[in-house]
Amino acid sequence: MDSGVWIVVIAALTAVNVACVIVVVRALRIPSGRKVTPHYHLDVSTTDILKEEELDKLRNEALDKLQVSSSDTLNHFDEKLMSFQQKMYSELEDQFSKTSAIIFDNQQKITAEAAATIARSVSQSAKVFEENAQRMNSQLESTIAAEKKRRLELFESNMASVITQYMSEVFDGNEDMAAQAPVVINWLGKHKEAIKKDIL
Amino acid sequence: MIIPSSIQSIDHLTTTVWEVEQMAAELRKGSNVQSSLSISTQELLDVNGVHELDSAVANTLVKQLTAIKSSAKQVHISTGSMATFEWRNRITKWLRSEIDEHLFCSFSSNISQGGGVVLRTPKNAYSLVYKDKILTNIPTLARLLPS
Repeated sequence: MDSGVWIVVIAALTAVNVACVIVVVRALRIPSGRKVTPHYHLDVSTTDILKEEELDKLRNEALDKLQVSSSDTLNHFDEKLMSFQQKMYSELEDQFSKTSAIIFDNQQKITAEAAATIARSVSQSAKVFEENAQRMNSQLESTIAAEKKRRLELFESNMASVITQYMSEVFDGNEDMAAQAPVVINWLGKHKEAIKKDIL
Repeated sequence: MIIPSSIQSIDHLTTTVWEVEQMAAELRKGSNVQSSLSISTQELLDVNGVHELDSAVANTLVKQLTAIKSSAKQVHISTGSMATFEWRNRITKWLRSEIDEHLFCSFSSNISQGGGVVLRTPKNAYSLVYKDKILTNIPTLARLLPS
């Protein structure tokens, strides 16, 4: 037997049982209003209440109603499902659009911040580089100036020996005396009278 | 008497006197020694017009040269490098033509003096040394150094 039929039968029997219980309880209610819960045992068979034909009839009606109800329920559920699906799709689209917009905004903000950070970093690096270059240039200039001063001082303090060594290395005993003869004679002419005084 | 410029110093004059004395002694012995004379002594004879040398002429030459030597004045010239014979001749000629005809000059070279010439008389020294010129013009040198 189909499970739907069993459900109808059990429901009918249960309804009968419940009705009997209600009747008995109302009959035993005491005047003072206090409720007493007595214990009864009702041994009634279904066939004692309903005849076989009536049960078949009820069963068939229940089956018909159940089929109709099931079909209605399915249709209703299908409609609800479609509606929910459409709504869900719509909400998903909206949510996706909103989320995409937020993500896009965030990405734009992040990109802009990153670009600004990079620009700041590059600017700062360029500034630091320029400062370092200026500092190094200044240090180099001061070092060169100090070295030049040191060399000049050294040169001046050792001028005599430097010049002597320089002349010795330049001429190396090969001074062109012939080319100097006119210069020497001209120079002697300037001291001519002094030399005369010295020797005469 | 003319002293040729090839005889530059008193030492050289002394050698020449000795050579002429030897020549006079040989002539007294009757030998012909003129062919063995040094170039400077031969030049001495030439510039003084002595074409035929005999004992009497030789003795006269010795006396004149000795007199010149006894009263000779000498200066000394130091050069930065070895001066050639021609250079020394040129300077000696100038000294004898411009200062005194019997002025003698000795020469030496000093590589460490730094080029140029130094002339020393008995009383003074005159310097044409390039090193001294540079050292006495340090401001000019400093001005010319690259800044």
